[in-house]
Amino acid sequence: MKLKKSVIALFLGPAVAIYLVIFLYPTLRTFAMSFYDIPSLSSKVAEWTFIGWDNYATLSRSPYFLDSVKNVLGIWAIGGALIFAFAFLFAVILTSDVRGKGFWRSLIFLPNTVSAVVLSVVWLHYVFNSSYGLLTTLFEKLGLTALADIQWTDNEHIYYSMIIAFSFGSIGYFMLILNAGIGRIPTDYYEAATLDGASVWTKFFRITMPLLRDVFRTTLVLWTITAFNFFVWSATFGLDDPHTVTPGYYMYQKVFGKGGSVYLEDSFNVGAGAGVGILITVATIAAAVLIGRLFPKDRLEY
Amino acid sequence: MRNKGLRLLPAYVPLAAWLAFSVVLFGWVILASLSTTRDIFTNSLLGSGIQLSNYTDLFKQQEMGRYFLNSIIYTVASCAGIALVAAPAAYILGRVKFRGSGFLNLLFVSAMSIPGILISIPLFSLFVGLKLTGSIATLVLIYICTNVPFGVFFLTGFFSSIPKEFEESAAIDGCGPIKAFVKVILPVAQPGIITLTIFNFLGVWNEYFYALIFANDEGTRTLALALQSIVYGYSNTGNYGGIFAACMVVFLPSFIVYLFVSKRIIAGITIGSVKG
Repeated sequence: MKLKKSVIALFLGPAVAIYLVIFLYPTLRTFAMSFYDIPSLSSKVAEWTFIGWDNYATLSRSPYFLDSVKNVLGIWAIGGALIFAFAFLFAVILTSDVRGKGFWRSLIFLPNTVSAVVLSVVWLHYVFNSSYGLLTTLFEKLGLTALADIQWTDNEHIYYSMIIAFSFGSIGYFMLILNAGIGRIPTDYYEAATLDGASVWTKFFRITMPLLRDVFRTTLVLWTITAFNFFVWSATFGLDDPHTVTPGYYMYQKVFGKGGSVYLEDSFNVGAGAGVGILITVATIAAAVLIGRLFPKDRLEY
Repeated sequence: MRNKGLRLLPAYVPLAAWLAFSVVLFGWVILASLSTTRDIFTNSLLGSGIQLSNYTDLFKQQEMGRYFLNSIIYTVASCAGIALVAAPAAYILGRVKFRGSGFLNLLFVSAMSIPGILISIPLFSLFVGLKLTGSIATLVLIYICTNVPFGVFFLTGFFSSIPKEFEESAAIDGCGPIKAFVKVILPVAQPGIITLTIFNFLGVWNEYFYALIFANDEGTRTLALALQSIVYGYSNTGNYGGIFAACMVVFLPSFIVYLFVSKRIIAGITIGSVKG
């Protein structure tokens, strides 16, 4: 179909303007900012001082930033293992002959629709509570006193507790994508394998996994983007605890932080904050390329 | 048949475990939200009867009603704005052939993977420079702008699947392109716009990052941010019944919406994601 240029411009104009002003311009400006010393958030460009790679050098020496990088890599690995294990489990179960698939899908996706603040509060103040909490009560009833005595939200455990609680809220989304991918694999393959006497495991590793490579790669990239930009739960669950700080949250503290946190000595620095944003983006792109290399696009047709 | 049921038994175990955990979590929080703090700590929920005051205090003393209204305004205005900007753009990209349409498609898809963390600093100074901070409109504008790329991407597919005969017959009836879009195409594309709006509703209602930066003062705070500060205050004064009541107030609206539209949400995710 063809339309007059003026109509095309009218219909597309607002969306394109938003792209330019809200996405392209800030991306380029953040990139530029990361090479300048910037006195305050609202400083004009004339007040900036070019300092080359100094902001990145500062970051590479900051123990807070390096710890936050370690934290986020751990979230990517541990959270990823948890989420994908459960997502695969439920995705496979929900392509079998179980009844009420629609109900189960809705139920497993439900936590993804709940505000992170609500989920955090419920996990912090109910599941992980050390006097009346779910885990403590459960382990006490089972007579497992060692497990019942774990202080889930102390310095030693809060990082892992956060990953568990966060993963619970993320499984559903990945389950749905994997479930749709598995649903597209022709059932004759499984029927033939069943006739040959293949076990559930053999079918999963020999049929499902190889044929799911494209979908798996996409979900892995999605997870990497989510994990590298991990922010909300550091604020809602970690509540400023340095053990849960990720680069995204570190950047927030550095640029928007209202003070009063452990970062006081690691002072306010807009340029370095911009540098964190750039590093996260570069790391995400590098990881996506690497994942693409490890799981090359499949030419398999089915 | 019996054999088959037995074979599937291991498949039901993880599902039942998930169900049990969800029911315990949900059930306990509801009961705790109606109990006194003492009942919660002595493991005798509702032991002193139903405490509706946990809820009424939130609205009387913590101004939860005001934040509730704020969040409704943010959500409704943003959802409308996103559809208003994204639908015409997606219509062009989905149906009209012109030079550069492939490039524009790519732009919107790439914008979806630009993280908020990367653009937040210049956005903040831009809004400060334009004296646009500290009002409800600020965050509405942010939500509309940051969600338009996904909206365009999501709706483009819907528009391209509408048969071209619709516009042809509209043209025969003497409709101009704008009238044809509003009167003929939009009604046909309604299911897509509704699904997009459901996604946006949940996304905006639960959004945290931009709200923290752009709307974290008394007048403009969202419900989720208000919940966080209420929980902080209540856990210092030891009002645990109130903490869980506040959780329910934030959770229930999105849960009720989800009860009605979960099929659409799941279909939307499934369609959009298979070939990435």
